[in-house]
Amino acid sequence: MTLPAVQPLPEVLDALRERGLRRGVTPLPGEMVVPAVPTGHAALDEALATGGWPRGALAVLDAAPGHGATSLALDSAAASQAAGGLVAWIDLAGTFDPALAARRGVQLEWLLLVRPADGAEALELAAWLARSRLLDLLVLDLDGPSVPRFERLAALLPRSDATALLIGPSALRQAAGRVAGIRLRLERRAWLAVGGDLVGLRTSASVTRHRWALTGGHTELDLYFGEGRRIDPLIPALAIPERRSDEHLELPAEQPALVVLSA
Amino acid sequence: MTRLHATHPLVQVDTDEAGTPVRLRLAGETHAEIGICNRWRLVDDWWREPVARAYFKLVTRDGLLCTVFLDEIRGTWHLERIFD
Amino acid sequence: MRVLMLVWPTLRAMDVPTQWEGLLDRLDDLSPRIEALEEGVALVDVTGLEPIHGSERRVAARAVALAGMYPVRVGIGDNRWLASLAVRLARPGEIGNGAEARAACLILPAGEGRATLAPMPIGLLPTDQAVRDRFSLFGLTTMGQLAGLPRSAVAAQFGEAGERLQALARGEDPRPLVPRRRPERLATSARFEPPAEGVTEITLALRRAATALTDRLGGRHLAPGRAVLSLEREAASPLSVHLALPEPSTDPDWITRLLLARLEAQVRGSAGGEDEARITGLTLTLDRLTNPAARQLPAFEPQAGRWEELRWSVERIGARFGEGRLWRVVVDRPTAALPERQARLVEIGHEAGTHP
Repeated sequence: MTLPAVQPLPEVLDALRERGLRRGVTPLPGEMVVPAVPTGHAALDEALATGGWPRGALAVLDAAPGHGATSLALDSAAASQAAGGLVAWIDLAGTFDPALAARRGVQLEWLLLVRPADGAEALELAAWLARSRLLDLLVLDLDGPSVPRFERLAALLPRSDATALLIGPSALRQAAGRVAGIRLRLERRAWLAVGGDLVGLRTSASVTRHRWALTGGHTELDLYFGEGRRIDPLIPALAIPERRSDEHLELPAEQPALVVLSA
Repeated sequence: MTRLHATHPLVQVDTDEAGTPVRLRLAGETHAEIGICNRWRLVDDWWREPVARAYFKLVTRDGLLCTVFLDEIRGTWHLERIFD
Repeated sequence: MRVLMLVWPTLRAMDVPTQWEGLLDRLDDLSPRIEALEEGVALVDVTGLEPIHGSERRVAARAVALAGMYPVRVGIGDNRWLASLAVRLARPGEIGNGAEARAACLILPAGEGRATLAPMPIGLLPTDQAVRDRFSLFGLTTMGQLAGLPRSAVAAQFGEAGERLQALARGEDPRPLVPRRRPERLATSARFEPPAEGVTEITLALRRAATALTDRLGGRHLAPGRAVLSLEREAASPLSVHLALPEPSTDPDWITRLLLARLEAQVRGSAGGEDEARITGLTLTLDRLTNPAARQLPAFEPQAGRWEELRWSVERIGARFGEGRLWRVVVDRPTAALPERQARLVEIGHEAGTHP
């Protein structure tokens, strides 16, 4: 591998990334090996180049409502628990949906549900929980008009081994973004539909900030809502994505087809 | 994953003659173009507080996917889930 | 059989499990055969109680009196179905003339289930709208009409579910009552003469009480999941401390220490000058008895050990931020039709000391 002797750094990094350089091959300056909490999506673990959410990071999921932030946070919680972790979900709005969370793989017996009085208390409780060093993932599901200060929590997290995932309205994400180690932008590309019903969404995920690796990582995620008695729980497992790498695979006609509508 | 509004906040819904929602007003925003994904009725608890709800799972042009229901006993519309 | 059904419509919404257990305990005075169907719904076997309590009206009035301060509906019938129907149709003013008269009550006459039901609308049967629509398609409007059809014809048109509904329409319900087992509890008391002023005296007496009770349990390979300490005070209302043990234990020192810590937190949190009142007596109660050896060892789960540690940290957090902040979620009715009823939250530090 030879590179021109003098080249602007961003271009060097782009060139390296084009060659598929990843952590574990040749660590780049600014790309460190850090222990991680799985995101629940292998493609996203890969796109983050850290094998998941780096421990100690405040990660902001930049997504407008309906673009999949809650689903992704939930999948990360389930994956973290499957790897033996404990998770706290800070549910300021009080909209945590236990039955669906359980259906999406969250083990409720290892989930601490926190109902703070306001945003400031939410962060204070998160800091206390982080300090216990017993948790792997803290989901900060924040809401409301007040914008608390994230600096203290962000400073505390690296010593806690926990990752904090923030979902919430735009003003909060902006405030947290200044101290966040990771920002992941989610944009819905399509609804995933079975017949006339929408059962999930396909979202593009772009890493717009990354303290431990290169930014610019990108992938597409299929997130299912796992909802309701109205939808057969087998459908996501049986559903055929619109584009597959193994196009030649012939599936029996009686399996329900997944129709991907345009968003 | 959905966000469950277990307290069922009131929403404003306009319907057509068949009782199907055509306009939804939620958090100060009006959603006038609505697609119905699914609908079902739920009747429960006949021995205490009776419950009769007509559910609609609907999607709006700007990408709000939610379930709302008509409380058939009180005649009020409520939000139950927002899909995110 | 005669079945009395009690429904407390507001109880479940309030989520008060300890009060629910207390209500069931009180009903034991009426009959030893009680089934707790769910929180807020109880069935009592009142067969042959007339010699003790008098007429069924008086049995119902007694049940209402025992049912506590919450609004309650009462029905009596020959079986579960008829009792539940009676509850549904109950109106106030049927029994008693004091406070009981406010409770809605209906007593369906014994042995006349079918005749009583005959004129009633078929819509009272517990089924969904689709079946009701089919009934009306066939011109069936009363339970008597359905009851009068040949069983084979009902089976052919409405299947097995239809047969069950026809049996109900005839006033038949073979489902038996499944009485709950009365939870065992052990208690011991001590009196202080003269009244105790220092914490040392209370600590010693509490430890003695805990040792006496746990000794009795240890021989039976049982351990309590909850400890309740009640203190009688001079010129002040009694003080009680409820402690759900993080895990069942027969270690008297541990139980004593946890109770004292909880007591201290409670006294510190209370306002007013009552803290100075001298203690005249103490009662320790241990309940929620389980066999610790029979519990599945949680060590197989990688999270179990850390979760226990977390619970201890959480107790500290609870003291710092107040109650109502830290919860665990239990999906106990995953198939409940209403999403808001599928799961409930249990506040950490207030749950039973059993591992999920």
